[in-house]
Amino acid sequence: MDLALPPSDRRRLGINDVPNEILAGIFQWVSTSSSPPCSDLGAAEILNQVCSLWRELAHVTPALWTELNLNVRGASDGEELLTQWFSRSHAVVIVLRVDPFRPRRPLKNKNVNVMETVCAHSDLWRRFHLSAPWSGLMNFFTMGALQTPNLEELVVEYDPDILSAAAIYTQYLTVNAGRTTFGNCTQLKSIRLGLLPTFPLELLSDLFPWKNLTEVVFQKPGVHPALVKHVFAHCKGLTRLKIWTNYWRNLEFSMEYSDEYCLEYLESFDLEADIQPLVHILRSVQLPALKSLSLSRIMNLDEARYPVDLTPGEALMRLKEHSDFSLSHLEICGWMGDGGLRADDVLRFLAGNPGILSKPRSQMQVLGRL
Amino acid sequence: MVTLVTSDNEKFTADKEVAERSVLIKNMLEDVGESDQPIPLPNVSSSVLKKVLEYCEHHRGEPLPAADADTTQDDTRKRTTDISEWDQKFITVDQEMLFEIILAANYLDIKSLLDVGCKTVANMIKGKTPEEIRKLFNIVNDFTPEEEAQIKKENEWAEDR
Repeated sequence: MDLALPPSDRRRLGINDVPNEILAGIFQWVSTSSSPPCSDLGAAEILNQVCSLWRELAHVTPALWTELNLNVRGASDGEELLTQWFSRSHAVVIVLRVDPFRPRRPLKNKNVNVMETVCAHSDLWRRFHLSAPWSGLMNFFTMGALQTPNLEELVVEYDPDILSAAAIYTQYLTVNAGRTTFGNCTQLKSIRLGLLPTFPLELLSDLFPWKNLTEVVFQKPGVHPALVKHVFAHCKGLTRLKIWTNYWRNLEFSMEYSDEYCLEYLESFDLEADIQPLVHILRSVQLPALKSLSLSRIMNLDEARYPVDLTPGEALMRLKEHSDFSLSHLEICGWMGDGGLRADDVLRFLAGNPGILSKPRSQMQVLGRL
Repeated sequence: MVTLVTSDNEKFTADKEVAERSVLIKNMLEDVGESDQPIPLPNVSSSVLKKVLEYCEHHRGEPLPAADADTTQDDTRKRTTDISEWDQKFITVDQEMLFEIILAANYLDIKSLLDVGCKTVANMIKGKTPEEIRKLFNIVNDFTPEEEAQIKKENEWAEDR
């Protein structure tokens, strides 16, 4: 549709004749676009560069300034521009990626400056997604007390770097503001963490009020096993839990049944683990509202060296005995066969969960021989 | 039936149900009560009102949006610029008429029509560079050299970040 004005009509009604509030509304529609941008610039930056009226209007239209992707490479000074960007926003989704392949610089490097500027505006965060190497994570977790009243979702991912490859990462703290804590974060319901099992537990356990969460995901490369226990003990409002965990034996960690590990409202539980955490978790927890259970195996060639006192089948039955749930979805991946579940284990479990069998076959997936 | 009088003194008659798609007209009718008095619309020309009534007639009987619809940030995020086939065909007009319809929809308080107009303009803007947008809408680049320098700096930062 070519709607460009012909030259002879140049003095007729045009876009800048519509009231500012309508033009701002049009800007918002532009920013909701799902079409690919014409360049690296987002809608806000494009509209900002058309003319002085649009620039002025764009700067006072917070809906344009809601998504910020920062890829910190330490290549340019951006703190001032970053501060200006935040000044135009009311609530923002931030994806902050600290490049793991930049040479590490001690203490006050540009990564720290950008991180400090981003954290200085934590009151605007609606979703915060950090992907960083070890040093970047250490920077983030030592930013002191942050106010996060708008924060709904937090994602923190470890991005492997040369230090982890050499297994020489340390727990050094690069900023002196103190351990990071999120204050006033009543909106925070969902977190996704993918750190390392050796990531310091004390930096996470009181990062925010865990009891308010409804969704927790621990993804590869996992978290400290004690944090898994912490979730069962403290996240009493959880409805969805997804855990990736292994190496419990290396950390000499175990978990035993306790009434404390009851998640009364949990409906969906995905557990991806090697044998020890699988057995320890299943035998230890109560999940009375569970409707969907997914068990996937992380292969561990050393498993035979670390025997567990229950078989996976027995642990699964313990879970059922403790929980008395009525499952409608069961998925088992990689656990059928040697050292895992036997066919009669699964059949016994299914006999106690008629809800699964009464559903269409797609509700039950057992990948392997049954 | 309701009689509407445009800025160029043309009279239009429309079913009350159709005319009341406009919140402004609905409120005026409620204020004056039962009356045959024509309603003056000094900010709408006959050519535009004809289009507006065509839109209202087509959407007769559809539920009206709530007054505070789409105002929260969540709603803003969920909105799309998709336009129905009929509305797209309806709004395929020259630029001047498009902006006239937008102004009329705003004045008459017909939210759904205002959205169709604004979405259409937004779709015209999407995917274009600032220069292409200026050309499309005949907008003069009035930035001072200082503003140009600042924009260049911002662009470098945006592309590097």
